[in-house]
Amino acid sequence: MLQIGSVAGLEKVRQEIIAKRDPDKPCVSVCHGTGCQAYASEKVASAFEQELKEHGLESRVDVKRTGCHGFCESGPLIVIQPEESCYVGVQPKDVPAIISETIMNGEVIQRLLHVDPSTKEKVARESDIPFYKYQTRQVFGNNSKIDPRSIEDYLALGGYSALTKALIIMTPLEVLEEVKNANLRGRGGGGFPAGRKWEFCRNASGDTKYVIVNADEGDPGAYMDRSLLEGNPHSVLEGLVLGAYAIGASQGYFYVRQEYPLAVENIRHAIEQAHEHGLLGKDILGSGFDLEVGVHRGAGAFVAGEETGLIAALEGKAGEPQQRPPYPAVSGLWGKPTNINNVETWANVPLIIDKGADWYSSIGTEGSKGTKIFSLVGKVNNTGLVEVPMGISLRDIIYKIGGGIPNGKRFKAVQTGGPSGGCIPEEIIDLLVDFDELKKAGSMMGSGGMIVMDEDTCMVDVARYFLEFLTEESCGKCASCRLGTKRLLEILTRITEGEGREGDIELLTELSGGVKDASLCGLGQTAPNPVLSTLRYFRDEYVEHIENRRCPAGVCKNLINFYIDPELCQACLICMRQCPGGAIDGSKNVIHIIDQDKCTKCHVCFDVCPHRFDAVRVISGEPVPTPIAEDKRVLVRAKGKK
Amino acid sequence: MARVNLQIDGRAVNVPEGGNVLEAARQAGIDIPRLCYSPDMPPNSACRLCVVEVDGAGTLVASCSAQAVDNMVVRTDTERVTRARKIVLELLLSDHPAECVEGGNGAICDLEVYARQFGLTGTPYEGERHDYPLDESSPFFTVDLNSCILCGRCVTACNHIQHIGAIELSFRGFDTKVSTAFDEPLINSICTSCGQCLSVCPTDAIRLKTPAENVVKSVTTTCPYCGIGCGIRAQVDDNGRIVEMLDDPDNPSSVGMLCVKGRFGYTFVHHEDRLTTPLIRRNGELQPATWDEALDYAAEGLAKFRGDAFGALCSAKTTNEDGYVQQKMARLVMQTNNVDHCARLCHAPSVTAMMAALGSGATSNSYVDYEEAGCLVIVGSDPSSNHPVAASRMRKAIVERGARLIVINPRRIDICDLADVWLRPNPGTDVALLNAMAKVILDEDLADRDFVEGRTEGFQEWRDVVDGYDLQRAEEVTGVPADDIALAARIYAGPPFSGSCLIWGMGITQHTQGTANAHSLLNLALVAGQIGKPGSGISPLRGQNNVQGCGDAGCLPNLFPGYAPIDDKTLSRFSAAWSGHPLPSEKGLMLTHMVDEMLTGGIKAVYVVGENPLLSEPDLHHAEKAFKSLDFLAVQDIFLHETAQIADVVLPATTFAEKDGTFTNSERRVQRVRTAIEPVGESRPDWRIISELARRIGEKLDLGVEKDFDYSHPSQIFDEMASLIPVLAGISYDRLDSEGGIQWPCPTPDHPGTRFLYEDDFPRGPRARLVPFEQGPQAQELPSTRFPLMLSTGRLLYHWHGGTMTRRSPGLMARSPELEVAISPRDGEKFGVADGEWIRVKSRRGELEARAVHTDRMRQGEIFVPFVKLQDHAANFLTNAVYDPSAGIPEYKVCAVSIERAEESVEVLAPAT
Repeated sequence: MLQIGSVAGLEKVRQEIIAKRDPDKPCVSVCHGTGCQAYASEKVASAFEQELKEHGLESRVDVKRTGCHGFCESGPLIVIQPEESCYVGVQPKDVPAIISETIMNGEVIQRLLHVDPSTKEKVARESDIPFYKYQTRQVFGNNSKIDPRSIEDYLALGGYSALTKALIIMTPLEVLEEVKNANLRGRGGGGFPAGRKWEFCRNASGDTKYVIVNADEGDPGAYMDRSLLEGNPHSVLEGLVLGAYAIGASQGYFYVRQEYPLAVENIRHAIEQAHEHGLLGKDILGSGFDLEVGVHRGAGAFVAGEETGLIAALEGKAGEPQQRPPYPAVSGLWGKPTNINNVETWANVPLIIDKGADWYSSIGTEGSKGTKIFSLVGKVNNTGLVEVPMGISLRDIIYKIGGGIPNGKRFKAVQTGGPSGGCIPEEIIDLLVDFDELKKAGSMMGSGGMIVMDEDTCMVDVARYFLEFLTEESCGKCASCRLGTKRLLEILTRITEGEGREGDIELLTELSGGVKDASLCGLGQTAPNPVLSTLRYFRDEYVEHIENRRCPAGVCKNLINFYIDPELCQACLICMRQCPGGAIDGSKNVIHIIDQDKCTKCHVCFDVCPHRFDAVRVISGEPVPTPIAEDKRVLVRAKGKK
Repeated sequence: MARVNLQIDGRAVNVPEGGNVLEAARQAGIDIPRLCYSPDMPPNSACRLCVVEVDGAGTLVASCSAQAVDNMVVRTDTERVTRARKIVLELLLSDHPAECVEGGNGAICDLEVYARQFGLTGTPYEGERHDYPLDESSPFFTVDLNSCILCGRCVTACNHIQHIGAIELSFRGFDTKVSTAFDEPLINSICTSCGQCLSVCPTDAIRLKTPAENVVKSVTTTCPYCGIGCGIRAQVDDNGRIVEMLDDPDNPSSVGMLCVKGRFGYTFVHHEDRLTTPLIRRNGELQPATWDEALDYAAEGLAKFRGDAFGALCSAKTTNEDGYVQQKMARLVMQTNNVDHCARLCHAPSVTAMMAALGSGATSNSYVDYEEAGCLVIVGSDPSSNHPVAASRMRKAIVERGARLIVINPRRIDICDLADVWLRPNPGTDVALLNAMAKVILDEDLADRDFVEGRTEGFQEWRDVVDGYDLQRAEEVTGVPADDIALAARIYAGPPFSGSCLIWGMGITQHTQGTANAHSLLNLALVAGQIGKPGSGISPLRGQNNVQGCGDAGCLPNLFPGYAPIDDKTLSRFSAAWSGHPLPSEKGLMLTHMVDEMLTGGIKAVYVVGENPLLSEPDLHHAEKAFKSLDFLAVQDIFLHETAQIADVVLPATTFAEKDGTFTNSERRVQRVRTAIEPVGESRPDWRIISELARRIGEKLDLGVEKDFDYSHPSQIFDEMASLIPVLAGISYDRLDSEGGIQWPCPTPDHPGTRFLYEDDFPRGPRARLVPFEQGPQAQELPSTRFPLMLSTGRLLYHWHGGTMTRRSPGLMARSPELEVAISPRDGEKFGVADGEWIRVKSRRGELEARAVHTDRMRQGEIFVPFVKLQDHAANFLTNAVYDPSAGIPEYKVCAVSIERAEESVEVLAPAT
């Protein structure tokens, strides 16, 4: 590939690519996100290629391995263009039928369609699927349309036109102003205005400046950055180049989690291609602007996603945060002014430059503009990555996009913002999601994780669970976080174990305040959020645990017992056979009883007891009824029920 | 410097820009509690006790790391701040021994102090506490991580002050702990036991094995070990014993650092072996005597040999005043210039060459120049072992400032780990190597032309010689790859920033070509112009605490005090100062020549002060024979060492801790030595003994010199020196006491002292001299069939020279209990000597036994024996008494030896626990 030395040259290449493409030519997009790959989507893609070849159709139908489409719940996903037919859960054995029926004859295969869990209706077009229908996929949307290894795909969709626009008609300052006017806030969690951050760095003294893409997505439940980097690496790279241009940086880095090998591969590939197209390196597109970009693999610490921790890790030191100020914008990597934004933030930049700040800021709320990608997981029907405009209600996300709560359970809370986010209860489910509203509610935007919880969730246990994660991930440098998270965890643990004491709630409240106030970095400063938000909305659950030794949700093992209701037990042997501890006594026609001394409270009996019987009960806060007398255990079946 | 205005607790504060909020508050009289912060360390922001509220900041801010900026509004006393601090303390207490707060365990613990201050008697946070085993592996201190609050000070001290890197914070979260690599006991790590961690620990997590109790006074003085001249603070208890030695953050030479010897090696002062009474040899045995008897006996014995049959051996370990009085006694009373000291055995060639080329024999720069340099060249010196604190400053330059490091050494010494270029020449080929580097500088036009043209002479003659050393020839002679030589030359002549420092040691000087080697180094500095400006210069690192001062004081056979040449002008000047007495006008004998003359009868009586030639001389059998042939030998020292044992009279002297005076360190800094404790036994300060002896000899011979030795305090001696030595003229005890050490030249009382020399000219005139030398034979004695290996000697970190002092420190002995011979594993295989095996090393002159240690630090064919004497074995039984023609230094660094397996016959001391 020849270096393209000018903007005009790039536009020419783009037109050539577009000219070669026939919009009516059928194209099968096979999702190659990590989720679908885990479902063996590669086998599906190969099966398409092989089958097409066998039918001599390889030149008439394209097969494209794309990035993550978002609807990970239903993978492997395929979308057939131009009809936009979407099939879910596709297996290699389905491929011949898809080719012969759908591609050759335009017929829809009903069994491969998505079924809306609420209406039970089948949906054929991707954009008609409620999961997609209520999203606004402006950052994430191209993921399903391009092969992340193909710069041509990106260019064909108008990729790098923001960069060419900036280089031809905008000064760096104008680029900066545009981003400022768009009021783009950092998607990494803090929500700090990206434009202002850039401005600090641009104005900091020093000739050498760095720009960094933070792809150390540490929240185990969030993966939008991964999917963007894996699925549309050029969009992030284009954002980075624009930022470097605005700031005056000549070196950029991608700091990518070790756990994201595909992201590393794809971004490296993208950097190489961008170099070949004159979009990186010296004198980018003849503009005189230079930028080199490197990729650094992280070493696996949650806290290395904190920007000063990330810089330390990038410098080869232990990834421990440093006190700010000085902020990286003044003294960052190697002591030079450095601007760090996360993947999603950078990916927003080309949109802003391309379509303008006015357009961008028309989406969203007063204080939060544009869209946000969430990873919607937990007790919700449709899980996956969803991109929504700022200001959408939690209810819409959970019910319209997520399809509501499975198994007819009641919604209890949604945890947002990653491990150190907060839990939002049903009362305020109509909250309009943006940076400020979430914060007001005691949670945060954070990583964009969104975990839906149903009535079977114990909120004290949830707090304990997240504190356990944070205690593990505390780097240990500062006393308040190192010891504070540990002590919070210990108090929560004792409460969930039925050892809670009077005064524990006050102690938790005071300690949480101290840890928030005194800790060095964002990890410690937000670590008490799970405690504080559950105390705020579910204080009664704490009280129940401590005062009545009762876990209302029936989760905390030390506080619950399983009991088989002799009135309901049908002596079917199912629970007895599956009990791993051999704690259930009974036989055919002999009502089952649980030996409480042997019971490990694994929950299996409860789960396997047929719904039509519902004989197993969780008892908490009250004594377990005395087992039914031996002589009454023989089951007398009602007549006709046999 | 610009200043900023801020408001702290409502008070307006004006402080210099760049400082932190904690210090600004301190200036306003507000004391912010802190555990991890120390003013001389970079802030760590870890303990969170110093948090304050800053207007506009969302969270509380650690005042130790927050910069004070204009218009900042700070509150240190709000409820929020107090609550956060209290919680932090309670959290720290929740993983700290409970007895600390419940009443204290006697140790000093800052956490305990703050807990009391906050009225805390315990912690509401129960839960897991650590239960770490104690690390007792260091002979000096215990590491008790149960008391550790993870403030990180020890780690900073190890990594960013001493730049050793033995400890780090390992693991994370609640499991975070201070540990060595692989969590091994300290003793198995690269820890050098410098104790910097101990000195900064705010709790008692790192504590002395023998705690210092009942300290009643702290005396600031100067370390008695190597020539770096570190500041120390002796902690004296109510029994008048030194119980702990602390570093001195205010000392500009050591900037708060000490090495293992400086911090823990002071115990020889109180050792039971100290000489406490004079001894006179009666009936062949040394027997106790009164001072009167002993001084009379000594006066009598020496008076008989007045003139050139007498020789005085002065000491680079005693004070300037001691040395000055002893050379004065030799010259004035004994009428001879046979005065010398042990620098003859270390830096005589450096001084000889520097005198010839520049006109002064001193280090031209300061340690701070190492820190500022863009390139350090360390030649034939192992600073990590011999000058540990200077080595730390060098590491700082390399690690923190990015200075380049070039090491020239046949042995792979520790600091090679940090080297950009390591040149490994064959021993004794330095002239060829350095000439070749100079030729690269000339050929590649890297020379400082202005400097060469304007400030040197002898260029053409020198160039004619150097031109003969092309890289190919140099590679053949030295064994160093030509490319490496060229690279080193380029870096030295063109450092990436600042200047280049040349630092050298005994590897240059202890050769029969020592003076040639030293000249070749100086030529390099001159042609590159790397002298006379900050960050550059030449540094012969001094091995003993007062080598510089001893020379300055005139303990040299060819020079009077202040390096005054023996000529009419000098003689009349000194005669006039010394009551008009005549003075000897012939140059005296150098130390090594005196030893030879003892055997021929030229020298009949010797007065040895603070020296042990029967351990430090080469070829000890030869030296012993020489000293035993003397008619009269007077020895004055602190221990009954090998030389004292054969003396006719032994005079017990005090150590550095029991007297006043001054030492002058390697960077020409004159520093005070102060009396910390009363003299042990009947011992007396050297200056007093010498003066008394001089008076008695004078009386016996009716010389009328009593007035010339009538000193009641060393300050009088110093004043006399200052009046005779122009470079010291502006220095006085008053100034030293009020200002701290002063670097000479300091010509007037208002002169601040001099950081580096030769900015404009040289003592010999406007031009320095380039003195050419050809590469001579590698050494006088080279390996043969019978003695197939090349021996080199040197020092160890844990012992000082012959070990007379360090052997009497149990901790140092525990770290290095027996003599070890370093050999390459391939030689081990070749000669059938396994790692750790007991071996015999033989030369043509003697033999020793020691433990063989296989190490890849050694090249095949070369072995290394430290010259400390352990279990009666010493390297100098092997070394060769051949001398450099002009400086008289012995060739300690090269002789031929053989090795063989031996039966383990020596009882090895078990390491102290």
